[in-house]
Amino acid sequence: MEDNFDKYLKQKMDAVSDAPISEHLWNKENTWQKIALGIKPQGKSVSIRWFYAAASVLLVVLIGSLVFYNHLSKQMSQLRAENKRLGEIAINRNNTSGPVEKVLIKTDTVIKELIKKENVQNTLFIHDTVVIVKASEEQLAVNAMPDKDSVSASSTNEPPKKSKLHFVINNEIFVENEKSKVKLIGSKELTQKDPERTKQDASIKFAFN
Amino acid sequence: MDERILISKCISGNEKAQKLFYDTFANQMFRLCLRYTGDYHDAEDVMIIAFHKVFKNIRNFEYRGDGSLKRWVKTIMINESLMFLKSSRKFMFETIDNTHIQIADGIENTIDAEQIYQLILKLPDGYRTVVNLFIIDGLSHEEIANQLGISVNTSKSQLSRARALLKEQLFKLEENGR
Repeated sequence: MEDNFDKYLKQKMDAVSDAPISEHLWNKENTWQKIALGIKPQGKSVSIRWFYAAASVLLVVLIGSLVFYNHLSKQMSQLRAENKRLGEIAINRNNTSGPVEKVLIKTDTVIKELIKKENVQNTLFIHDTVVIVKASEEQLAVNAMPDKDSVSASSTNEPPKKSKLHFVINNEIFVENEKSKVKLIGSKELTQKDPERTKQDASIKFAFN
Repeated sequence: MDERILISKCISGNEKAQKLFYDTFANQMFRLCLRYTGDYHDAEDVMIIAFHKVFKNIRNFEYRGDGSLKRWVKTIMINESLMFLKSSRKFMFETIDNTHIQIADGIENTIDAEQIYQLILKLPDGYRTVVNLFIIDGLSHEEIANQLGISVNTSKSQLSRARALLKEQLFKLEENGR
């Protein structure tokens, strides 16, 4: 009996479930206007959220860049100071009359670019960095005069050979090959007891072999 | 327009699609909210909030064939109506003494559906809610008890009293119609 009543009631309600309601009781369009008002700011808030997210990312990148460049510039100024000091030592030892230009480099990419340049013919070794000495061939010939420490330096009777570019990174010795590509040819352990001496040895041994 | 296309356009924020979506469901959902709240202004307020939730969460809706969208929207409307009734403290179960009511059997099918709808709107909130949930929207007593935070027995007794009251009023309506 209850089931019949329930079915009867449900049928009646289903029959009016989609029936329109008198406009003086409910204005469908007015309700839509209120709903639409609530939807529009939602879109704005989404874009505002994206704006803040993008701004945060930009801020992080900016701060990161500032920290990185600050660190880099400190490193560069330290390297410049060291280069200046070591350059003076090299000039005094070689007793060269002409000016010797030194280029301080840090990365393989820069090395590859530099060895393609015509004037780059000699290197000085400074710990974990490389000093490439740009000098005339005559100057290099003078500098490459027989030296007791030299392993394979040219003899005085032989005409000076055109030197190949050598450089040392982290105790590994590299040489440019015919295609101007960098090739690893050996390694050199540094003695930290007398760093100045080690640098000079490296300059002689590896620059003119 | 295919429901899936309508949904994807609503997700992308297309205002015309949102209006079409609203027009498709507005009458049904307003009647549903009214059936639960029993008041036109309250029903409008509930429907506005519920439609906001619909548009906000439509990207989470999974299409599962014809009628799935309507069921999903309907569920949101019912939940919002129940929340409204709870929050406005209208959700008080009546203990009307209707033992005197003579239950009229065999009500003829001559009463207009709109008249019965209006009768339901006039029921006390507790009765109306249980009638809506159990008879019209097909929830079990366990589900009703869970939704409303009442016992299963309370749900059953409220429904029993609501039926009796409705039958009496239908009988009166029928009597007046003759």
